[in-house]
Amino acid sequence: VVRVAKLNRVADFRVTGRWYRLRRTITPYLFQAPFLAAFALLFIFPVAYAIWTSLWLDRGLTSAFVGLRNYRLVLTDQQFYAGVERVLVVLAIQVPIMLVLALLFALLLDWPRIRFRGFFRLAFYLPNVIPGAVAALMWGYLYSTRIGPLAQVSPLLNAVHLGSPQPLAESALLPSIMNMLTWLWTGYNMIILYAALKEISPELYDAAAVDGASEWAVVRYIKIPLLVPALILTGLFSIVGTLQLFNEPAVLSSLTSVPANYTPNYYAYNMAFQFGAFNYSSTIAALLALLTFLLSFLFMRRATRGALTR
Amino acid sequence: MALPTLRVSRYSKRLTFLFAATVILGPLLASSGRAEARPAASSVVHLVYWDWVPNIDKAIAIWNQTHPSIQVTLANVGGGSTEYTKLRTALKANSGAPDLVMLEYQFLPTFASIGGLVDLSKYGAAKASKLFTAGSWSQTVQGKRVYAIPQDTGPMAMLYRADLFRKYNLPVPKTWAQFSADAIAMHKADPNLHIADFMATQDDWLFGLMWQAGAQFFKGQGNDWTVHIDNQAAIKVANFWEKLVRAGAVSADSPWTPDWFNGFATGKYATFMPGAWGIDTLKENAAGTAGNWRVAELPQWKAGKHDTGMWGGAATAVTVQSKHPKEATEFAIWIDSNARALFPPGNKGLPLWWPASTAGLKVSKLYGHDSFYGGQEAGKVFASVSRHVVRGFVWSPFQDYVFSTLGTNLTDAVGGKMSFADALKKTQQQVVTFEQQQGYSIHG
Repeated sequence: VVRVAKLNRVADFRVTGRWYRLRRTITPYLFQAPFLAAFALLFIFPVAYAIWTSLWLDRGLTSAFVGLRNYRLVLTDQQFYAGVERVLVVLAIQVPIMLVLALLFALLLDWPRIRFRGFFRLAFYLPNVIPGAVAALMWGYLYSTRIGPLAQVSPLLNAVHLGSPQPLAESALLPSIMNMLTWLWTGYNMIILYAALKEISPELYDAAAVDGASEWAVVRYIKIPLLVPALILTGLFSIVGTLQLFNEPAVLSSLTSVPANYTPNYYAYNMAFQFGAFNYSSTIAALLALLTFLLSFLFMRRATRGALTR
Repeated sequence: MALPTLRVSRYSKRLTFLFAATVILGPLLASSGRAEARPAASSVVHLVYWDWVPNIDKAIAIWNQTHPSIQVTLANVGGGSTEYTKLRTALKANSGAPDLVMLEYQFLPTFASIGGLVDLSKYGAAKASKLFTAGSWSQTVQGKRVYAIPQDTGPMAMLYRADLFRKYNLPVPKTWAQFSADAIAMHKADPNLHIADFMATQDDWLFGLMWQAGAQFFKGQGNDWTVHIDNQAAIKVANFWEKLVRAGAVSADSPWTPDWFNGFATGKYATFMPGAWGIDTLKENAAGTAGNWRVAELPQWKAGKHDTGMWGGAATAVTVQSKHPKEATEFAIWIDSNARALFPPGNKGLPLWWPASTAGLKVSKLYGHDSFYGGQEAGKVFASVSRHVVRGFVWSPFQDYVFSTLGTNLTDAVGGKMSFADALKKTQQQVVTFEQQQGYSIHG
């Protein structure tokens, strides 16, 4: 009996000993350490630094703590809202078009009777791997009214009094950007959806075939419902990407005049690097991050609730 | 298909290796070489210079040959706003800025106000004032402080298509009233032809024209500034162009875009009003129209006057991060005033820029007959207008914001959302509000 008790005590010491407990708590963090270090350095630190600088006002070599003053200013800045409005328009118009197209292409690629599947998959995805500088040259050519294909079509359109399109005119800039976005991101979203389609168990198709389901019924009752999680993911990516819109206005600024506040992200960039208002820029960035978080959160809540009730 | 890919990748791998080898071994070999000449090497001052003028490296080579103890390395980090973005970032980060930097006159107050530029009067720059034209020197000083050495100037003149004016039997405009009448007549005769392009976003151009009309926008120092963007002269110029834009006689295309260059090459625009640097801009971009262009002074608001403004022109400044401001000042004065540096070997006999230095302006090569301008002595016209730049024009320390805001508002105005004068008024209000928020004491 004594012996057993002694053994137990040793075991107790082992299980409940301070060193052992410490080791138990530390071990998972040690495994996570490389990630946590990079995460802190590349994510937490910049975000915290941006928020910190947004609480200051630099003027030349002096600098003053101003609390939430910059937030009050940005939140009453019409220029900021004009940019937010533009990205919301893109979100409402371009994102649905792009996702419907991506879904359509993914379903077509997954259609058993499709030919040249590899070619189409690559062709749709190709815009995503073209470097930005090359894309800028290409769009400069396509949107030009004097040197591109439009230059050849315009006289014909003018002859029948249709008027020639001016994709780089101020009023057409947003549709032109939406067009570029659709070209760039449809293939990317299509790949995500197509990968999700490939995950669907073939047994379901067999069962549908046994039941005599048409190809359309398979799409309607098997593929689309099972694609919902992937669709939510692409929707989330699109919301985040659209709110942070930067590349397209930056690319087009070499081809036409793009207002400095065209999108919130472009506005933040110009504030810092054109106008030298670093604090104001940080504030815009922080508010944009907050807006992105809020919209993503609302979207996820709605989308997942919808998916559960279905 | 697979084979060429393989070959390319192997080749690129070898390149990478070579590159790595050079990067790693290069400094080792170089330093071992340098070690022998150590006493000399330790006293050599190395300076880095950001400048985007093509072929300026050839002028720097002359300096490096003749000044073994001050060696200058050129870095072209991009022109205009690209360079300013990098400079702003480097100044903010307190590291990475060059010793010397090229800055356009309109941005000197900006970088001086953020404490980025050395006052060169501490290093004897004030004595250099007599080496440069009074107009250009006045652009680089604030009170007794000297913030840069003038490099080139941009007195504005009018380049025009003599053949088109002749074709439609129109007089070359000497006054803005005549310009306006010509514009309407020309556009009526050929709907595809415009006397000029109104560059709504090129507001240093527009400011130059307003400068000619006697506009004064800014006054002040340090943190205290008076801003008057919607001044009378500016509104007069804006109204003038609005009338022509609304009539369709003047186009409103974005400048420096492929379409815009194409417009010069294909005869869409009959005039261009650049600074003196513009002599060569058209040669490169509208070679097919050679011989058809001529140069004249800008049309005048009052017949018989010869006023002009400036568009562009740049100076060489020394940044606060330089460890050798004295040597940097010495180099800046040399490169901007030396007539030999102006025409370095290997630049096709062309000047690097339209000089701000009196010695440079005396070089006869500037004034030759130019076949692009039908044999006219184009340089002489610019030399003569440079004496008539309206004095006392001041830029603000927030010029970027002014130009960007004005550009956006004028683009809206061209689109019909407001009048040109209202665009100026709106800009005034936005600039005052924003710069007050940014900590300036602004009086409207």
